[in-house]
Amino acid sequence: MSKCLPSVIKSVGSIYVSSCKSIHENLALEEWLFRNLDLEKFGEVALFWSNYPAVVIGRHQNPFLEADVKFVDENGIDFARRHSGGGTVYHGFGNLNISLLTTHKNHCRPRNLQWIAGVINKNLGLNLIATKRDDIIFPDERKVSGTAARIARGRAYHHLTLLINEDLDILRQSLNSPFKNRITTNATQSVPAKHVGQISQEVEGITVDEVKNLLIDSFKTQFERTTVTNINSLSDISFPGINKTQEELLSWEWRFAKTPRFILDNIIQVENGLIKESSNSKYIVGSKFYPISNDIFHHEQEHQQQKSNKTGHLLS
Amino acid sequence: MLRISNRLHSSRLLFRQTRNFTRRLGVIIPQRGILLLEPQSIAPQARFIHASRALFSEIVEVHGPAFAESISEGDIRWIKQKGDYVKEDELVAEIETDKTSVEVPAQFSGTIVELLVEDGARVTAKQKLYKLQKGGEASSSSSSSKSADAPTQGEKADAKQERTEAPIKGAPKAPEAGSSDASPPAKQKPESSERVDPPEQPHAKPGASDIPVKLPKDLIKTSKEPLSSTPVDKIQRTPISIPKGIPADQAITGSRSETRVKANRMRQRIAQRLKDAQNTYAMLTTFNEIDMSNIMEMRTRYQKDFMKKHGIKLGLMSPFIRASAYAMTDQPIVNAVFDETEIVYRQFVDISIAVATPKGLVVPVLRNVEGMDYAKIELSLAELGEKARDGKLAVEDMEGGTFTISNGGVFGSMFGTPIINPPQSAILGMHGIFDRPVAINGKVEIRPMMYIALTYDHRLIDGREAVTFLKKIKSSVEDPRTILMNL
Repeated sequence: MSKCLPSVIKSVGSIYVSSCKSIHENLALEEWLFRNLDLEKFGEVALFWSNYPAVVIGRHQNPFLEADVKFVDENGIDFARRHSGGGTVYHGFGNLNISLLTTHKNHCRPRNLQWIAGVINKNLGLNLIATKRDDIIFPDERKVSGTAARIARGRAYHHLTLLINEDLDILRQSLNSPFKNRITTNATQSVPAKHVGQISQEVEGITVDEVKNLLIDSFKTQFERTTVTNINSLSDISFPGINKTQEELLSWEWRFAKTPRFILDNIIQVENGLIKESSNSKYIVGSKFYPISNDIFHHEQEHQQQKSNKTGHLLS
Repeated sequence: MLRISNRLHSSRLLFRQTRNFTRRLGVIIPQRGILLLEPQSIAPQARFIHASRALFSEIVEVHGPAFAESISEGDIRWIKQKGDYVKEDELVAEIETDKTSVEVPAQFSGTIVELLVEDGARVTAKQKLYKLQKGGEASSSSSSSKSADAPTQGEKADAKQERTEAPIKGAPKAPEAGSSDASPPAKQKPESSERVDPPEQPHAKPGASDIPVKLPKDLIKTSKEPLSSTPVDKIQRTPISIPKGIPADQAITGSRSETRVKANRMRQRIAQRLKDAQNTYAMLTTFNEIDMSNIMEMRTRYQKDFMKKHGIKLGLMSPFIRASAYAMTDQPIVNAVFDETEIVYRQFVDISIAVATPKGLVVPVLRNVEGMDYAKIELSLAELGEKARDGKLAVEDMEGGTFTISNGGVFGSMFGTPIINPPQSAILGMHGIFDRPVAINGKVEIRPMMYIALTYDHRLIDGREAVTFLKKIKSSVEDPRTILMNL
């Protein structure tokens, strides 16, 4: 239970709707808005987007522990590490991403979540609940939304996923790591929901756009003045420095090397993305760590073949 | 040139050495400072230069930023390491609290001298995280970081000595003063007679020679035997039985042991919030007393009719709640809250009522009390009370009050200072009703009296307003007719 200051009627709100399709573009956009937008001028900011299927891990997480990295690679699912903390999520076009950017003082996740749940409940006749852990669930505990936040330099953003009509099977497979109990680390570990659910399970035919518009309309009522900006592409001209931000997000250093030190199966120790110690000859000390197979002991020829084919995709 | 003596025993001496002689300037008291030996005419306390590491080498202990709302701890992830040079505002670490990641940028440029917590360790808001050596460039700060060590403390003392040499008038051959040996070995000599007066001394002036240096007692560590004492474990004790209902680890049994029980999250959070309230508000309390006879008479007279019409009893809280709302409409500043640079006036009165449930203290909120009469108040209270007892209070029920009423009287309290419940500006404390002799129209009568206390935030509410507010509550409770007459 948190006690935020009671919200005051604000004068300005800005809504950004991104139609960029890649998770990295959108994370870069979010980061850019977070660092560069003048909140005095733009008031409180809401950013909405959906992207190609992607697995997004939290800032201090271990991708091998949180996701099935091989499955993700083999199925063309993007992989990203975001700046905010918290756990791992999978989202594709059946998911709506919402990011609410405010000053540190006005940052209040429960208020935001109650607002979102309230809008959906009112318009779609559902009974969503915002929990103490900042999740949104159906009354029977199916989780439809996860939250993360970041606070820096007097500003904060609260972003969340909202599952609307996603492929939940792929979600489950992507987030099912084969190394689950085999990694020793002090990285942040996700708290998996007992059950995952989505809005389309209760409201047939609902689309991401419909929910997005409901939220946009409701957001506007909180302010005296709102502007809505549609973003189709990112360029350094409109968002100076954004290309660099995006490159960083795509780099191996950010996505893999930032993983806190860990030990796998007590056989391999990885630090800063590189193998530091290994008692398995297939994993060479000094090289970038990538699991050849799910079972570290066996290393068949065909797995090695697969590895060299796929290297270009993820390890670049 | 100033030098430090390296003596295996006792404290070190600071002395000035030239070609022909060595002059003792002072005694270094470890971790306290330097005692100048001259001039003897000034008391030792005045000659003592307090010096700390911070003064010597500008090492600051940096604490973390404030977290979000009521989250109070998280895990720290170091981005920079010990020995790294950071520029101001560069990211040093991140603190992750469940879902939120909070940046910890460097407040100053400098070199990280020491990390005070491990990577991944739990830290609390405002906890000291690391030590930073403030410094300009990366290379020079690493060499000056050595000044943290004790032997070189004296080098920095040089700088101090140079400045303080002016008051040194003489050149005493003072014997060293040991830390444990208070008696000076040298012979006594009057100050103005034969002195060893080194000619090169720029400040050469007739001064003392062999004047024994006696360190002030508090600087000398002398161990003394206590006059008499019994070792703790030999204390005779009689075992006592534990009263029922008290858990074993809390009970007083008489055994000379302690148990450490980890405080649960709720307790820690309560502690934090109360301390925050205390640290934020300029809190003080004003008191008054209420003659409850009228209210009690009203209750006895109308209780039956009230029960018949509304289905519940007329309690003692509702007159106070109504009185508070009435007083608030008269003094809206009590309903407002001070927020750094703004005053937030609220157009509604939501009163938080402190209720003790089996699970602990809960503070549900009555909304829009300004429009309620006694009956409506009683009904809402009953509803809230039921929810509280059934454990069905929702988060929304407990958020956002503008004023709190706390009733300590149910436990027998007579008088007390309640603590404000943030983010409000005042709290009314009701206490027990006791028969007391009071002066009425020049005569002594026994009346049921209750002390009431109003703790308020003086940053926002001035004394006059607080006292007027409390007086209005008093008059409205003592004589509810004043509410109707808008007095």
